[in-house]
Amino acid sequence: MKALPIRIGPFRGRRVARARTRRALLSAALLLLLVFSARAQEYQRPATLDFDLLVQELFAQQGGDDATASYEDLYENLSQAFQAPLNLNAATPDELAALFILNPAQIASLQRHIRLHGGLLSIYELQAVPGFDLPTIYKLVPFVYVPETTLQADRRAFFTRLADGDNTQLITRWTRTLETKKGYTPPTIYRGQPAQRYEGSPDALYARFRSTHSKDFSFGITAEKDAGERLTWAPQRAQYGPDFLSAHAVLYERGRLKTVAVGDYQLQFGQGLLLSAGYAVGKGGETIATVRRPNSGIRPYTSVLETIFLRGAAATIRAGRGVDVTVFGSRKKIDGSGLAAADTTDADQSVDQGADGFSSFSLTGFHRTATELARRRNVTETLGGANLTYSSPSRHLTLGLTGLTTHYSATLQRRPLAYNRYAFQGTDNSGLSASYSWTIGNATVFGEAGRSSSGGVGQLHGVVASVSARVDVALLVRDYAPDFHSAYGNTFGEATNPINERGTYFGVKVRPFSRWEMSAYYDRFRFPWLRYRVDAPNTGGDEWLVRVLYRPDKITTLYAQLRTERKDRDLPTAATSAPGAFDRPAQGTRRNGVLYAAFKPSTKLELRSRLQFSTYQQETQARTNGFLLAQDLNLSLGRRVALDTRFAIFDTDNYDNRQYAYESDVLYAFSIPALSGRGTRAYGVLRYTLSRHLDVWLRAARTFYRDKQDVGSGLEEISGPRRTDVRVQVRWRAG
Amino acid sequence: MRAAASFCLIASLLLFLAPYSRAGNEPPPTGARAVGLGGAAVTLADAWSLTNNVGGLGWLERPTIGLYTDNRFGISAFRTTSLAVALPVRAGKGGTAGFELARFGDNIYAETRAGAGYAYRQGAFSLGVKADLYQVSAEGFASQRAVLVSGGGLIQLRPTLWLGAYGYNLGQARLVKESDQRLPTQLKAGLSYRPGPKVLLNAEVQKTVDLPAAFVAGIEYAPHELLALRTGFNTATEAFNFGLGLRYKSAGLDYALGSQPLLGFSHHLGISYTFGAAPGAAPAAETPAQ
Repeated sequence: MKALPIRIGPFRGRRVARARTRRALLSAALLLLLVFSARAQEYQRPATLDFDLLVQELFAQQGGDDATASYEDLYENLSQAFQAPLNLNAATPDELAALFILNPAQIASLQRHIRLHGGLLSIYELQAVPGFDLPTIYKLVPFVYVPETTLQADRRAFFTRLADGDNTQLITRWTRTLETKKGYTPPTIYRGQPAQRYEGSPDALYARFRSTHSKDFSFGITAEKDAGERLTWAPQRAQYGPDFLSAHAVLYERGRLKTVAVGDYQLQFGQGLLLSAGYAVGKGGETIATVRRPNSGIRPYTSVLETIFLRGAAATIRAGRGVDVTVFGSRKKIDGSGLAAADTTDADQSVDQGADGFSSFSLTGFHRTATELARRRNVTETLGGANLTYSSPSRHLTLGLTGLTTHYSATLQRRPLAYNRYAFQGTDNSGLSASYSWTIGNATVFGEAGRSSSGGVGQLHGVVASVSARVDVALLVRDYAPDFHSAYGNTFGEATNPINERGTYFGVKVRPFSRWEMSAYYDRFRFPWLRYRVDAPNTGGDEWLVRVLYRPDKITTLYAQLRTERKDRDLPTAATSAPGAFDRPAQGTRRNGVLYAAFKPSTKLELRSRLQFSTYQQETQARTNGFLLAQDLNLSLGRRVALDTRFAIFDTDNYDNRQYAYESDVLYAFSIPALSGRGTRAYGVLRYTLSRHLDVWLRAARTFYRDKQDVGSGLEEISGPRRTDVRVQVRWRAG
Repeated sequence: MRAAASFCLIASLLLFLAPYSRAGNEPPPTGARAVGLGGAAVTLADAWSLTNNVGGLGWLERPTIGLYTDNRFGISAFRTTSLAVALPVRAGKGGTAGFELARFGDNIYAETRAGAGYAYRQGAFSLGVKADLYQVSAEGFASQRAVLVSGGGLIQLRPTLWLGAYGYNLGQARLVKESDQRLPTQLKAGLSYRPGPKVLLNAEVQKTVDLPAAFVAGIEYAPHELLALRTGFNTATEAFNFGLGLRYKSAGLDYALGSQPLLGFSHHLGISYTFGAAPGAAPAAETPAQ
């Protein structure tokens, strides 16, 4: 991120008499104007976004594949926010909150500043807004802009705007693992039958066209073929070329229609209890801004995760007096895993959908083998509902009411395991919820409570407050019943889905000195009913984190973070998973530490070092460790060429100590691999800007294991200790 | 900072002594304000400093009386009632003496404590000692008594930063001479960050010999001079507490709700009264929040 070239002391307006503040602000603004009319007209937004620090703050790294999926979704939304930055003078509080950088007090302070002094004249004026400190501004600038002149409504014809769109782009991407995986080798004979192999090529292909104009329209089409999937034209199986196709058309601000969407879209209402989209931020280094979810409404769907979106139509209508009504309908084919025998483990079952229905949702989106293809799009999900949102004229108070009903064309009949006792079964589910958010002074109270047709109740309530100019706090309590069913819900908690959890979270952020930021949280949770790998009711644990960030100057960032989690989990025993057999859970303690230093001595060079370590111990089991040391060297050779490189060494005792480290990737691709075992990891990403219209990215990454002769397992197995992934991406931009 | 140096010396001495004792239960924090902060009270200066850190008494300038009662987990026998009086000598210039009476339990089992303490403040640094006569009575058994000696200190390091440390039962008293079973010895050390008159952020470590160390932290926010809101937690007990304080002139009423996921809720109620006129307009940062 490019540093702001000048600094002025942060204002603490609350303490200063109002008149004095106003004078100070005016003179500061004037001073800034003088300085910048002499230097530069506007802050140069960086050409590519450095997500490194942001990802480290927002992503909890709790592991688990469902979590990784929601991170991809969040990453996609942040990338979109970077690509189409917010106009600070016109952004709504919810749009600002969706960046997860500002706390409610800062948002209120910015809006008050704009009300009192008029729109911001330059991005530099942020320094004069009470409550905005430099670390916050550094984080915010990639996602926002201030228009140079008062923005006039674009009065050109619609098709002219469409053709002109600055944000019209086509992205194509090719990815391949160079080593041959077992899935691509000739099949072996097993019990007289050839064993399954991937049916397609090892190339992963991705293409996306999108044209957007802020608060006007968004059109897009996305196509993806995962490695191992076939590229065929088979209308009888509803496959038209690539395995996954997605398209959307969204119009904004058409008279009484605030938003209307056709095609693939996502919905986010209230705190995400019933409908959540792309904001599944976990507990992480950012302890305040991520606790409350924004009420974003309809959003176009642009990711390639094949399960988390809605397909159909939705519209938000302004009914007047601050009331917005959203109606939505969706019908799409999903994958259901077959009904398996009761005595099987939780491994991926390769049994086709039986006459009875299906036993679980298959969320991977992979359709590579005959088994995976057999369950492709075998269940139809139909969903409909409505939301009513009231916003007070000042937008300080928001009330919402959401109702939706879901129908599956086949019966969901889960395996008769104890932990499935209260999970959703059957064909129909409905949910109703009420949400609120109220900003009073420097505090925002918010929450949502809902009930599913099973009778289960889920609710969460919280408060985020800036109790002093230097201290922010957040408190959140949650209680999701074991029989609260919400397929599209994703709320604050240990698990991504709001079910079977009670907890209390307390977060704090302190800025004791201007260049320091300390954040911490403590979270206590209980799970009333059994869970996967926890064979006892009423288990739980707690978790805390402490993080200190120091930016001694504009070229250096240092931080240290420690996290401890104590959580019950079944002891690794030889016990079978036969019906009626239970394991004994015991508390496991996991500690993670990160030390990070970034140094940017010139605009051409940046150095980053990162040390990560972890330990895990469960009761009397031996303590295991994990370690990762990574060194990055990022070069920027003019505006045209940039090269990011890393060399890392990792050494972990087991998968419990796997290390997640965010990696640079081509634009819009998210990479945070889990490294376990012993070995090295290296990558290089080259971006080359050929012209105003064309960018090319090349990426190669290799993991070299020193402790094993084969990488991966099952059909993903590679014989040999190396895995090398290459990726090429081309972007064409209009305008 | 000679005071700081000697304080550190004493603190390290306390730490050095710690491994030589053994313990059973730890003394709970007393006072509804302390409980509302999750028990992070080693840096507070009020009548309950007598139990939470006697060193805090040295910062009091006016006579203060407090009455406290709690009930844990809805069990009638788990009730504590406590009375504390702090009496500054020459408005604190000659130190502050304090007396405490506390009783836990019912007719079948009870613990009673009568304590006297004294603390003296020199500049930004105070030091205090306390002796408790501690008695355990159980139906059908003879009552047993022991004398517990405790000591602690409280320093203002910066206008916004406080450091407190306290050792409870440093003599590692035994209830029964023939037994090697000793009453719990506990050490606490903590910081308090007070960026303004409205906010107090406390964090401390509590270690009772033979028990895992606890990290406790709490925050108090006073949106209005009459009202204070609190919350805090304790990692060892997994307790999450919430508190409310009302203050009108010299009188205070505090309530705290404790929650523990396995044992349930506890209620804590306290009242306090400070006698005499408020001392002249002392800067807020000079006096620890009372």
